[in-house]
Amino acid sequence: METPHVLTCLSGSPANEKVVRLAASLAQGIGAIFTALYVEPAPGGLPKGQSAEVLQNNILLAEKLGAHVATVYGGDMATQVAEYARLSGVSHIVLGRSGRLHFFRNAPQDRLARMVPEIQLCVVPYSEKEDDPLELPRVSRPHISWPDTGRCLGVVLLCTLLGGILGEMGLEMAIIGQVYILGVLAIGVVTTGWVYGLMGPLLSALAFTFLYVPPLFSFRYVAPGYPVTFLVMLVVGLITSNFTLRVRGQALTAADKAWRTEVLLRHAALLQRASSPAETLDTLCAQLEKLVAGQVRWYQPNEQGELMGPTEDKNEEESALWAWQHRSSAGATTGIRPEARRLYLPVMGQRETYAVVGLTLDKKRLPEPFVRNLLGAMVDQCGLALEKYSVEKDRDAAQHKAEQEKLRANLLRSISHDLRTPLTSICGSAGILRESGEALKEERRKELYNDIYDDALWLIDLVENLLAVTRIENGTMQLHMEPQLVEDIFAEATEHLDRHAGEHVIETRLPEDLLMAEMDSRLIVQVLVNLLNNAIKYTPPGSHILLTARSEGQWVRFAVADDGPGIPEKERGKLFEMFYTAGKRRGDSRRGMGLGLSLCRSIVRAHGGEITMEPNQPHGSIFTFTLKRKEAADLEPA
Amino acid sequence: MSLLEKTPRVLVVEDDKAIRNLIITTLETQGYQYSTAANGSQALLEAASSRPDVLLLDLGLPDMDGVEIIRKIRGWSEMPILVVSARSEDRDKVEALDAGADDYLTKPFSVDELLARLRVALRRVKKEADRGSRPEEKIYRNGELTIDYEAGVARRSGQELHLTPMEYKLLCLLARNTGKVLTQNYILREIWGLVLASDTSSLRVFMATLRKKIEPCPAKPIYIQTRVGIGYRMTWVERGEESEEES
Repeated sequence: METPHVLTCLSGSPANEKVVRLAASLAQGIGAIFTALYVEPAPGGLPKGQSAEVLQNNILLAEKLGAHVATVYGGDMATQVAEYARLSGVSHIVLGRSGRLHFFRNAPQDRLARMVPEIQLCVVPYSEKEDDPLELPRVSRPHISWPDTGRCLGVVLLCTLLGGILGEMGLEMAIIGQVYILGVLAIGVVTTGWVYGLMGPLLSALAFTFLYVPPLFSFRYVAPGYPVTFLVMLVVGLITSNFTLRVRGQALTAADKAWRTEVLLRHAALLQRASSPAETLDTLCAQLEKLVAGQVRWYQPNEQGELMGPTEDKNEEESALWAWQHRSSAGATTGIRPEARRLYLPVMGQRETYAVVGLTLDKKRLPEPFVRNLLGAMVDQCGLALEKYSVEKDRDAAQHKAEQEKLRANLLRSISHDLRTPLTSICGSAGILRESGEALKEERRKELYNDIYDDALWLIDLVENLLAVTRIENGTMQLHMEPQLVEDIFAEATEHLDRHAGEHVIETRLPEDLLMAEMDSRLIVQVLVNLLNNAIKYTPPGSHILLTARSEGQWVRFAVADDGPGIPEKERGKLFEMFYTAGKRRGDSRRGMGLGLSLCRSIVRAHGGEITMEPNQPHGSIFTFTLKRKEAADLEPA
Repeated sequence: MSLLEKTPRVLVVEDDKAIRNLIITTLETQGYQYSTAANGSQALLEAASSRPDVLLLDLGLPDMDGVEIIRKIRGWSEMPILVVSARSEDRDKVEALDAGADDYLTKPFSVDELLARLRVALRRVKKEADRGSRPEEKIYRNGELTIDYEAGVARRSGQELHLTPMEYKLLCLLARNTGKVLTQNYILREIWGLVLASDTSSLRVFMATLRKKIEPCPAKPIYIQTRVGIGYRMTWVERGEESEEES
């Protein structure tokens, strides 16, 4: 079964409080979602007996009681409520009812019951003295203004003048009367409020009677049909003014709605354009500042889950914190820390609260319900936008983790495979030497010793690389960057070469003195050792290997060149991929796990450089990589 | 003089039996005397009672942090301490060196490397024993290199070296600590008084120029060794050793 949903209506009437409380207890009793709906009246102010203060209090009360406050605009109250209720799946509506009689139309609750028969209607009666919170202004407060009065009199005057001219032309009295009716229509259009709708026809009728109805210049009349004309004029005037009033009200509401939609659409577009959570919040604040005409700040939790924002007095920070922790507004105009200077609204998504915005309000008063509603919608939009980031982050993390897992699995598989061969050899050779060492020929024994030694060295090499790989690939690597003299690094790297290095001619060439690069020395030495060992491994004995470095603008370019057979063109693309070995000699050959070059690339990239391979002339390969150059700072003793 | 007559004595502190076996076998073949300890407290007891000439210390002991042992021993003895560590992190070595260790070896190490480091350490003991009677030395001699502290002049093979004041200061610092690896932070603190990350590059340059002036062959330095990422060390060089390379 669906969750029940209780809806009540808010108004500026003091009696509304009782209705809201009752609705809240009902909602709590049946475990329902609770919505308080405010039907904003058409322009022209609040209905009689309602005040903005009371309305604000009622809104706050509803929020405090756990209601979601929604606003709809204008039109007939019952229709609006029915529409909202139907759309949001409301199961119960709680309304107030006064004992007042409703002429001409049915009471709102009755009409509502007819419109949404499937929804349970609970009517809370209250005394006559309290106003009906549901009543829309069928008769609103008189609206009188000088421009409107002027317009009204002007139109009557114009009609009188026109009537005079027509009278001079010898036209009938009835035609002049029609001119006045036209005037009454015009008054309905150019003025606002029912006062003029009443005044217009009345004045027109009086002027007509006085000036054109014989006997002239008196309010008496002789024509027998005159009272009918007078009455018709009055009724036409009243109906027109009432109609124009409604049409205007609807036009204004429609304009407001259109503006609201436009603002929200633009807001959404701006939020879309923001490229980071901070930028999104900046966008939101800029938009909100326009709306409330006051400063807006934002607060966001940091990595440790502490809310960070502009540091001010404790009160403001605590209000913001409250809003964040309780996912509810706090600060000025709310029941929580109302002494704070700002109103704090949480920026929430469905999963969590991403930020808090603090609005500096004019005179610490809530903005108009319309603006307030818009604020809420914009903050919600922002919450969704922020949620997008959070979801993306989670997804990226999950993907990263999956890749890590894959890498680890590959690594493990590769290692366990590659370890087996040298370990078998070491174990076997040592076993033979231990069991029957004496029986073997000296020459044979030496061979076994050498095999053990070689394989152990190979294992050491592998472990060194593995350590570096795990340091880099698990993402926790912290480079220990230091300026290093390239000559020191070269010396260190050539000291740690393969045992077979002696079979090759290795030369270092450094054209520049004191060439320095920024690096993690251990890792870069590892890169050089890997490149040099590769060159030794893949070239026949007697080949030349040249190690050089030169500066190139902001960079130092390192190069390891050999004159071996080179690498076939079709294999060059995959060279730096993990577990790739030239010639795919895996399985029987334990040399090279295809880890070395991929590791070199990871290390160089982590340093912000790039590693490439190109063929050497006339044959062989050149591996080059770049590192940031470092100038020595002049330093004399202090 | 007594040191020359008796065979040097090494205290091996290592908890792993296989490595301990490897080390003592190596020592035996070279005719060193040795004693062993498998943990920190044993090591301290042994060091105090048998007074070895060199301490070979594994940093990862079961009962005590190796650096702690170095600090304790340095409280009463200047015996050379050679640190053996499986940790490849430079930080640990630097910590051990700053605590007073002379040098370090990273596992896996070769037997030749171990013996070379031991020889360097023992040379320091011998030099200090020789000097024992006249502590206030006015002239520093190391291979072909001499420093006349009073005159403030450094010479190689009798030829005066033209050093800047900074280079001379550096050379004296290294000479006073011959045989010990000095961490770069230590050198920076001693020479410049304070340590800024940006100073490291200057230190490298000064070291490189100094080396060019004092080394007979800067590409294969024998006096000043660079420990990349860690620091520098001045080594004792026998007279006439300049021509041949130190192993």
